[in-house]
Amino acid sequence: MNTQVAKGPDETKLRRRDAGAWLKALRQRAGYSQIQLAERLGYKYYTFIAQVENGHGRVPTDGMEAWSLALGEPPATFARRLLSYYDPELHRLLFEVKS
Amino acid sequence: MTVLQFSRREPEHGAWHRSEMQRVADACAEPIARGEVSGWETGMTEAGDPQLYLLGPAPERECVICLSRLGGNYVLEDGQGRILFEHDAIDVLAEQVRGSLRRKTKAIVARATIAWMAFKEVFEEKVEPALAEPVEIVSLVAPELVALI
Repeated sequence: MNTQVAKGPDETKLRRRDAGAWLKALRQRAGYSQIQLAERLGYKYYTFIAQVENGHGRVPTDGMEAWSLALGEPPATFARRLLSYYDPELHRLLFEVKS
Repeated sequence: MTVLQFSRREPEHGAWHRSEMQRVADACAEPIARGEVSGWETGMTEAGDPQLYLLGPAPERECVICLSRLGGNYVLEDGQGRILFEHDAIDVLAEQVRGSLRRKTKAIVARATIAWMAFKEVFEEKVEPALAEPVEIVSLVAPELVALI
């Protein structure tokens, strides 16, 4: 039986948007502007923060820990939540399917 | 000696101008025709600086290039936040967009070539000898082949 999660273009886009909205809410809760968060993360410009929050970019895997700490979230929780947006099928296999 | 005073360029904010969009659209004409760019969307930073996202092929339609205008400067980034180029002239930036997309295509072709070579090697080493054996043996190497695709 094929249990793969359907992943149409609209769904992919919506999930990235949702991820961006979640990250924006975390940033605002932490009290940072996009510029301040970019400074904390060592980016030269804050454009990538806007790109990710607008749903047109992903937090890079090697940057997840730094992002999570800057936003006041435990890294494992942060990465798991982002995985549910970026790769829902992998998230389902890792965390929802009982072995 | 007379020092000429050039008028200072005012920092710009707000939406993209039609002329800016046209320059980028011209630069993307070939990649769009080849299907490497499926379209674009625009957005804004929190501070009101315009961004333009060039999207890769469906179904993912990931952002492959992000162009932002900050004040009077343009910043070109990839989808991972790496700065590819920055300049104050849109014509120069548009040329960089064209070059970046071309390099990206070459990198994809190179990766596909490596994958094909690896596939061929596995095929020659394992599958060809196995063809003389029962079908069950082929099923043993199938997962390795699938992993290479």
